[in-house]
Amino acid sequence: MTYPMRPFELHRPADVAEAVALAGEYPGAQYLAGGTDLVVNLRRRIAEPDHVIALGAIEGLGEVTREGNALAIGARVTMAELAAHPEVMARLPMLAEAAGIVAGPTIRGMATLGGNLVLDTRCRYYNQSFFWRQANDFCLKKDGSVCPVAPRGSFCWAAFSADTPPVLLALDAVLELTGPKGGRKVPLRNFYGNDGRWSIGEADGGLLPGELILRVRIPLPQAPWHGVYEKVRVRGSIDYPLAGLAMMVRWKDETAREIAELRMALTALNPQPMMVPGTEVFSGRELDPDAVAELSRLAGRTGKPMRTTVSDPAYRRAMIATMVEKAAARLAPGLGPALLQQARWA
Amino acid sequence: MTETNTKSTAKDMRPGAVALPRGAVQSALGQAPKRVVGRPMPLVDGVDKATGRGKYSADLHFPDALVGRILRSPHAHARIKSIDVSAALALEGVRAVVTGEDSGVPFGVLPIARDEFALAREKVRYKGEEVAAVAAVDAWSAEQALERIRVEYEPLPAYDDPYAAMAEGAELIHAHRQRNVEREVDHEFGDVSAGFSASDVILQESFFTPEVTHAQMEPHAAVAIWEEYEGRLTVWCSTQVPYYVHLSLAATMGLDMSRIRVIKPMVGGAFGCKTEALSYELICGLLARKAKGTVKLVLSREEVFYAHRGRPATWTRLKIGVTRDGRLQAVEAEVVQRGGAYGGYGIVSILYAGALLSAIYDIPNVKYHAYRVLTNTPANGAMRGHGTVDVRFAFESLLDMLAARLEMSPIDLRVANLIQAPTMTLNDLLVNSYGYPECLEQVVDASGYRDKAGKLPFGKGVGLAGSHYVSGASKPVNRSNMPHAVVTMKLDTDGSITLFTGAADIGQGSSTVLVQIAAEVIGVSPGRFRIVSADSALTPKDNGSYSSRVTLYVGNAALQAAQGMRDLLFEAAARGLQVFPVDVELVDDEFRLIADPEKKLSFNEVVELALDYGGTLMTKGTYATPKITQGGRNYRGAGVGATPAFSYSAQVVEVDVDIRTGNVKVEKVTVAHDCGYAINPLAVEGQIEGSVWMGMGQGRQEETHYENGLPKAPNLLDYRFPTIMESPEIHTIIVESNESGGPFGAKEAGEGSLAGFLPAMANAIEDAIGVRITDLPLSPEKVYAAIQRARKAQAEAVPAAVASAQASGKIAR
Repeated sequence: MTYPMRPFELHRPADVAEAVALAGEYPGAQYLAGGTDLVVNLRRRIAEPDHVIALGAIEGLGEVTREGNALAIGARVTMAELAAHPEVMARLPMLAEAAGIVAGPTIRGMATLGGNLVLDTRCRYYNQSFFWRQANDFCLKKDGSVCPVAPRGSFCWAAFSADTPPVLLALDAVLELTGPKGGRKVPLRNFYGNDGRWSIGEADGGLLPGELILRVRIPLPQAPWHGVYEKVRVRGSIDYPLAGLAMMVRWKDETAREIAELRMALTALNPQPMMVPGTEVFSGRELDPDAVAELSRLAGRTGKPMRTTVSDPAYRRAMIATMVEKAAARLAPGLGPALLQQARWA
Repeated sequence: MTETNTKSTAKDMRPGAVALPRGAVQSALGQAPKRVVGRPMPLVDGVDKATGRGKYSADLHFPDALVGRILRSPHAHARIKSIDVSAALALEGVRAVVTGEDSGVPFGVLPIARDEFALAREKVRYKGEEVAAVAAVDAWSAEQALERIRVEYEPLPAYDDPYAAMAEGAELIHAHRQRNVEREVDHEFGDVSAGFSASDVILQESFFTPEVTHAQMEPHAAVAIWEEYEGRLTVWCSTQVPYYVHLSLAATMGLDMSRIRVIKPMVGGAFGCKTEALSYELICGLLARKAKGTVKLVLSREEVFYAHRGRPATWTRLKIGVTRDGRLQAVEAEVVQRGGAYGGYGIVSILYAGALLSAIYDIPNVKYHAYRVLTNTPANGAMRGHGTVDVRFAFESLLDMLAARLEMSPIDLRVANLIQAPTMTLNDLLVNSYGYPECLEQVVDASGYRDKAGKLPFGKGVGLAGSHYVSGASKPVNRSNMPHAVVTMKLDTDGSITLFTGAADIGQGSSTVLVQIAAEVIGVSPGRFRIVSADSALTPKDNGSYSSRVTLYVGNAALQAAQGMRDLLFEAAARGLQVFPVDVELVDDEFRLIADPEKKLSFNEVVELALDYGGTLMTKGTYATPKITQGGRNYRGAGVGATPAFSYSAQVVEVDVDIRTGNVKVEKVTVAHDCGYAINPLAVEGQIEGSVWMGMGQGRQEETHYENGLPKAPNLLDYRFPTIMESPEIHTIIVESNESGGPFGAKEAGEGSLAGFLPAMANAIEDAIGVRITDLPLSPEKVYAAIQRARKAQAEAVPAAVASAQASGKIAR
């Protein structure tokens, strides 16, 4: 059998108000939607709530609606629904792409957008059973005092490893939250903090105790973004990203590959998903192999892989440039062969 | 995955080869067209599996069952100073706690290496070892009880590196194994130094293959019922060899075997990890007896990694010498296997690795020096292709490197060294049927290898390799004069035939094969059969399902039992029709007079005649391996590798390498397997595909590494066995060399095609990008790193060397 869960009280509120009230009543309670992250963590006793608030009975969190020049996506929309939604596919294909390669089909049928946004950070020393962690003297993030990844530091390097947040960051998404102290709107860019222990909740805009994501609002600008999501993993399914990159571009002149604006965001390389700063200077430039090389260096300065996965961090670091090349080649047809030629030796 | 299946009858390419006569058994059956064997038949338990109707151990529901949980050692190596279970016992809902105190008799699959206890005594030797266990009314109570058990440890130096474990002065893991060496093997057949002297080209290379695990679908599970008044134990468990569980329960619980019944429900995959009796099965029995009731013990996936018994991390240094025309002159292998904390099958594994250097190519001189080393990691054991896989990776990789040096095609190098069968190898293994030449020819033709090797665009490559495997070990580990397999058969008034076998169907389809053999021999429809498999109270003792023995061994026994039943039925039919038995035929479950088919008796009428005066019909068939197949007697370890028949396989792997990620896509595999005769071509094809696929897992992405004594990834998320997304198109070709010792000519089908995949993939990568990788897995990061090294070497190389390498196609085209 899998490891037994520590007993907890399960609540099934009928609406958002009741859910939030329960969260106010029971500090430390955890919300349960798809359960693909939380249930595993319960069994491993890295989540040990006394109260779990299941959101399954609440209506109205599972819709995708057009609101003027924005798309609002309910937090309980599943990855499978997101990947196949006509409006999302038409307007935000990069988001559909990222959602469509989360884990495998069975997980995508359960995992929700809200859950993906607040996915617990991951580390090979943390995502282990109670027995394993105990036999390894635990870790800074849970039950221990030393981080095995960087034993001399006082920082947790667990990597934020969800696929959709880098896309949503680059798209300027805004979260609609509600909680025991009322509702508010937070730009996703202010949502995450940079310590793997509390990357959701540390930042100014991070989740306050008992807060719940209701919807994600994504602006749809007049001149649409062309965007792609690149994911590095060993298997074509199931795996979390070893590294992930969202790249979006608006062309000044598409045939000349002249950039109006270009954005990049990374995931699975840091304790939070991160916009790559400094891409503004590419405005007006051609997306050619030189520009790609510069973009790779920029992204490489942002992504800081550590020994948090069973794969070598040096490999994940090297893959940042590879992802930039692959993304650029997909966005700028004709660029691919030149980049591939560059990669060959002899 | 598309499946195309070509079936071909072996034609012998070799000059002067002798056609072997079919066995007497088959001659007696004549050349009548086959009605059941040789045809694809869905597995007899297929519907049970597909619908979920079938019951696996964890599905067995007993309302009063207690939940068993195991306390495991957090230390890799430590002395146990004390264990205090009083607080656990005091907890509400706890019915029994057991520790090493409860069982003092060691067990182990090899009579010469019984070094394990059901629960650790005095010492723990790896993180995850069983120290105590609890039976409680529910899982959380059991879990809380485990936390209340106080164990005092005194840590000892621990080793996950076999070279450190073997070093002078290292702490001994078992007092009786000096320098932590479970077995050193030093074999030389022929004169290796003379062979190297006669060689024109000698290459030597080091290879590393990390530890891998079976990753079977069904985790280990057992249910034990203790009947206190009668003093009897019944155990259901997910095992390949109920007999070994039976023996080990009796020994460790101090019970007479007659008081124990072992039943195997459906098994959801095993691949070797359920061959040995494992601690959890014994703990389940101990808990049930102590709780005086029923205990169910189901391991988590992580606990399966601690029970392990997988393929050991293996360091191989291989040296091969050949003449200019490609004839092998000498082979020298040095092998170190990291065995883990207990002996288990270790001695057999290390002997297999050496023995199976032979019996695929004609090698005049061979030397093998090897160590099986004890380390503070979970015990390794048997895994599909037991013993041969890691060394075959080295061998077939080095053959391609030699072919390049000789400027010879890898095909021609292999063909130049074929065996003239039948023959005895230098190490006394009988090679009888030998379809390897046909396998090579078939895969080369079907894959278009000759048009592809060295000719595909940069990044795409094709690789060839061969492999072989035994059809059962001729000498069982528990030596006796008993037959190696027994099948009984029962026919009663209902007209159904029940076949009783101790052989465990573990998903490989052995029950279906036995039904097909029996139905063919008797001449009745397979639907008339029921099969009872592996229940010690009902079925004859069997040595179990391992080393691909069931089709040949138990198949021969089933064939004999069926002949007995056929004789009884035909005699009765002849009596009823007032003719001789030879005048009768059985068609569509009717007995007819051959000369006048209108004169006939229904099957049930004949059953009634057959049962008159005597009642229920019972027949028995047995099989024992012929002496000539049992290996030599003149050297230590000669029994390992000996088999009634070797299977052969060749495969061509085609890859597409992404040089920017190091990701290798396996695009297509063309594989030919000589299984002697395909009793069930559907099952044979499935087994070949499964072998290829499992080889791909080890070849491309699977590995277990230890850090601080713990496996880094004891779960199926980070232990990255392949998904359907990595599954290539597999084109299987069945080659039938007609094994004279096998039922209808059949031999091994379930393991032999695994080992060839790994070197074929490495050879294909070399063909694709000019980079030779000698350590597994050929994972994206490994391939990417190798590409970076090649790139760096190329940048540093003097222009002349680059030009020369380019000219020979070794760096890039």
